[in-house]
Amino acid sequence: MNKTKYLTYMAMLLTLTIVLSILESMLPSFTAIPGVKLGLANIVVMFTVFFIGKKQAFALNIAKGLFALITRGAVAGILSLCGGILSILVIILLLRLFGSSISYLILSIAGAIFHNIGQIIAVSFMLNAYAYMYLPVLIASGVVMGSITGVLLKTLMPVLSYPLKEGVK
Amino acid sequence: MDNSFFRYKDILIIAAVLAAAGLLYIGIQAVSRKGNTAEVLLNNSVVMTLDLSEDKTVSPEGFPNVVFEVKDGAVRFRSSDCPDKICVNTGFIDQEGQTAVCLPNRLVLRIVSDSGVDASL
Repeated sequence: MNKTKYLTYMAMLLTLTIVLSILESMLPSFTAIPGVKLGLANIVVMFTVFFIGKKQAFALNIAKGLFALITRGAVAGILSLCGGILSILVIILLLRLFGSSISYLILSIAGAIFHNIGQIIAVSFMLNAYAYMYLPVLIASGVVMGSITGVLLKTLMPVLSYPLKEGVK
Repeated sequence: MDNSFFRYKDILIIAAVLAAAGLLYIGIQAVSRKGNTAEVLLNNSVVMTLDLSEDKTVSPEGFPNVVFEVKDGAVRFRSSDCPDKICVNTGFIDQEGQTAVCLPNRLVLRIVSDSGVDASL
C-alpha cells in the first residue's frame, strides 16, 4: 500500500471509529449502570490491532479519546483513553501469550471487560469513589457486549480489510 | 492473523469468567453492610453529610439543580441538570461503600457508616 493510500485508509478507520462513537451515544442506554455500553467503536480498534499494527491501534485510541475530550469534556476523554489503552494492552498481551490458539471471540470479550476495568480504575482515581462494586456487573456486561462486537467484527472483517488486499505495501 | 473466530473451549472460558463474576458479586454482597450516613463529595472533598435515618430532599450548596432524596435509609440523586443522567439512573443506594457518581458536576454520593470504622471487629 503506498503512502497516500495508507493515509487515506487510516483516516477512514479513524472516521469510522468516531462515527460509531457518535452512533452509540445516540442509542438509548440499556441499563442504569454507568459503563454498560456496547462499545461499537472498539470494533475498529480491534480490527486495527489484529490486522494493521499496535502503534496504529494506540494512535486510533488516542485520537478517539481526543474527540471525546473535545465533544464531551475532559472526564469523558480520560475515561475513553484509559479504557481503550488497557483494552489494547490486554489484547496484545493475550496474543503474545496464546498466539493463534486464542479465538477472536475471547479476544473481543477480554477487550470489552478490560475496557470497563480501565474506566473503573480511572473513575476511582479521579473521584476517590469505590467503583469496584460495579466490577461483577461490568465483567458480565463485558462478556455480552464483547460477544456482540466480536460477531460484528467477524461480519465487517471482509469489508474493512478489502483495501489491504489490493497491492502489497 | 489467522486465528479462528470461535473454539469450543471458549464456552468453558466464558463460563469460568461468568462464574468468577458471580463469586465476586456474592463476595461483595457478603462483606457489604448497610450504611447509616451518606457523604457528598465535590472534587474529592466532603461538602455535605446526610443522615439516612430521616427522610428528606436536599440540594448541595452551589448546585440548585441537583437534588438528593433520602428515603427509608437509602439515598439517591433525585434529579440533576447533567446531560447523561447516569447519577439519577443509578437509583437508591444504601450499602457501605456504594456510590452514585455525577461526573459532569463532579459530585459523588457515597454511603459510609459513622458508627466508627470496623466497629464489628
